[in-house]
Amino acid sequence: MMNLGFPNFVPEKPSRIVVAMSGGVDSSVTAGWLKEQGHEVIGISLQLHDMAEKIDNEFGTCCSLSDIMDARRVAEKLEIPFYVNNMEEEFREAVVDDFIQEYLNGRTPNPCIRCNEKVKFRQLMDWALDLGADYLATGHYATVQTDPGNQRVELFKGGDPEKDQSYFLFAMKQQDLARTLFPIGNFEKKVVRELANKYGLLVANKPDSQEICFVQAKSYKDFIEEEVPKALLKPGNIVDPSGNILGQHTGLHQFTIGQRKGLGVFGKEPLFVLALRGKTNEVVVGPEQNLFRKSALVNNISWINEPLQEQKHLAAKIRYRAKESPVRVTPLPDGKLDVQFEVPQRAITPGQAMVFYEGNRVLGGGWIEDLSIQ
Amino acid sequence: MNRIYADFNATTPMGRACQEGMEAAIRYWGNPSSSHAHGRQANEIIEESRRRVAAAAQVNPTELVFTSGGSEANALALLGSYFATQSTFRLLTLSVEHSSVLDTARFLENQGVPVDHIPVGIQGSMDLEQFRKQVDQFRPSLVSVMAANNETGVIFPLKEIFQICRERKILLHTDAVQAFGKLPPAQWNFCDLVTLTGHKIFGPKGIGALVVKKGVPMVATHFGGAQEIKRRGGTENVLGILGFGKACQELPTPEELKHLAHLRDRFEKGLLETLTGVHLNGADVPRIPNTSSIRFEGIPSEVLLGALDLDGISVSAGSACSSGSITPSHVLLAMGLGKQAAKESLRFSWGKTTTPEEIDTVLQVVVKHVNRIQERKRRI
Repeated sequence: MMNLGFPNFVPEKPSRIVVAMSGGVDSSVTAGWLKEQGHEVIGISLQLHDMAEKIDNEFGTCCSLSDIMDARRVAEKLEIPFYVNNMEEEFREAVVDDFIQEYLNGRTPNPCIRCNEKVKFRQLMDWALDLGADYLATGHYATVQTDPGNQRVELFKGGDPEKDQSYFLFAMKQQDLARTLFPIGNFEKKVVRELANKYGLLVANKPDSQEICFVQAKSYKDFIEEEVPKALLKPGNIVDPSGNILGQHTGLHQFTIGQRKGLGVFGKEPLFVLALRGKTNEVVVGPEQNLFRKSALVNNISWINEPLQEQKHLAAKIRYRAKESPVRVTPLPDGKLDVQFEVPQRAITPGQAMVFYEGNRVLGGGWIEDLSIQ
Repeated sequence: MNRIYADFNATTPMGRACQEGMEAAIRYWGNPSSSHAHGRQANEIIEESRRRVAAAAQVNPTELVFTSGGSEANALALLGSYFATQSTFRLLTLSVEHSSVLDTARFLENQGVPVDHIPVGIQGSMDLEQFRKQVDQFRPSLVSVMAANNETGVIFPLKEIFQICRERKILLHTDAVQAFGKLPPAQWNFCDLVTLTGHKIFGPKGIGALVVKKGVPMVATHFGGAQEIKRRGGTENVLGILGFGKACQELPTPEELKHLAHLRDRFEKGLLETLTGVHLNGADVPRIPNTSSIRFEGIPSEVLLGALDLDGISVSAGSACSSGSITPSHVLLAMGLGKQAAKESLRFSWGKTTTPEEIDTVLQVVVKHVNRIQERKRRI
């Protein structure tokens, strides 16, 4: 098992620890490993959507009914209590409806972060504490460490660079982080699967979830078209950066910034989506080099610790799968952040989260705003 | 840890005579339909058990159709009646029925069958005058009303309902799964169709029965044999039927039921007097002697259910699906409790083996956790 020079905090004293179990290999091994360390482990799950009618492959993604069945069986194998709560309605309101609305407004949402912030960590922590637990543990690849001096909790990247999930956790509150454990946060995925086999868990070879859980095998475009009344999908113009009309589209939800396929318009050189204008319902297209930009505006900022007071050089990620890149971040009087990249970034996308790092430490992040293109 | 079971409405353990009888009968593996000695033995088990079940329910043995349980008996009652009468079939059922009735009703409705629901009030009971009007307006051919509700324990006035139906030549089905063994048969066995099950009366799972009174139009919905007077094809569950019959010989006595009601009252009184923000669902209407549905204001049911489970006490909340996931009870919602209140309710259901010590322990543990959780919420 590798780590980043400091161990992932897990209490030495046997504690009552509630593990948020999704039915995947990471949270299953988290529960098994904590039990092996001598803790009293309780599994809990939130059922967020019912995919019972839509299951056509052996394994779904996170938090569908069949995954909760898996979690239940893992808990029984580990001989730990396990409880499920149905939160489909809350999830629908806080996450799915927002996801759809964001797309209709020409933004590209990140439902997983929103779910962590609005549904998962809030509900799970409250539930865990009501069960008399000392800690809540999850299977995230991330690390927390408490500063012995000021007792503030710091969030770090996970040990396996391929699997690091700290990006999804930037909006966590200090009081929640203080009671959250990421026991396998520094393990390599390979090791996690080995442990799953060692514990005899049926999910040892279950593939990692890739898609958005409630969209599953469908395209998000099909999902939105199934969910939304036709009247809300408004047609509009496809224009070039100077405003010349090149063609028409049948709804902003079909596009994300950087997209090339399915535009239905052609130029001398390949055309890419450069911007989505919610107000005028326009899709702006242009050559690929126009996708690269150095500046961004970030709003609804959340800091793990002290808010940034003055200009600072940090590293930033503009989406989960993007590479970290050096930035100069300047706090603005209205609470937003002005972010200047040293190297131009491809497709900085409104609606996605930008997360700031200093080395392995996560400082915080926020949501990318629309900077209408010049 | 010695666990305390307070979920007898979900299922019961098997009684001793039932378990011993089933263990002994494992060697009778013959097919009851066979003409040879093996078959005759198995057939005898079934017919003897049929008489036992019929005697306990005080119905005619020839009117008893064995099924795989209460849900199948409910489905047979509704679907079998529908297929027997087709175009004249109209169903009126209760909004707080078990999902096996409600879901079958919804299926029929999707096939184009006229279906209507009888509302209940905030206490979980129905209004007979309103019912009479609804019957005259909707003109059902079959009314289905449970004898007692599984979640609140509320008893429904079947005698009066039967009277209203009889005057209008309407058939009456009752799901008596929760009433069997808790209410005298004379309170429900006069209905035209009656659903019974084994595993709520200290018998085995996977066995139930539908009482079909003589002359009630009914066709099979399972085919493939002439079993159960052609009303339920398929080789019989001989062992289950035997266990069901044995359990019927061990039903609680009137004295035991009185004792159970006393224990329940002690529990409810203890909670209501000790805690604040606690409400008894269906407090002011007649209920079966073993069921308490309680709302703990501000405490989600899964929280208290988990806390009690960790302390060795088994209770239930709402209706759990196969994953164990809890959804707000449709019964409490139909009573007009509101989503929040429905999500804060727990069901405690006791059985003939429940002791006064168990009642007191549960009371003590519930009070401990409710105080602790309320205290934490105050601090936030």
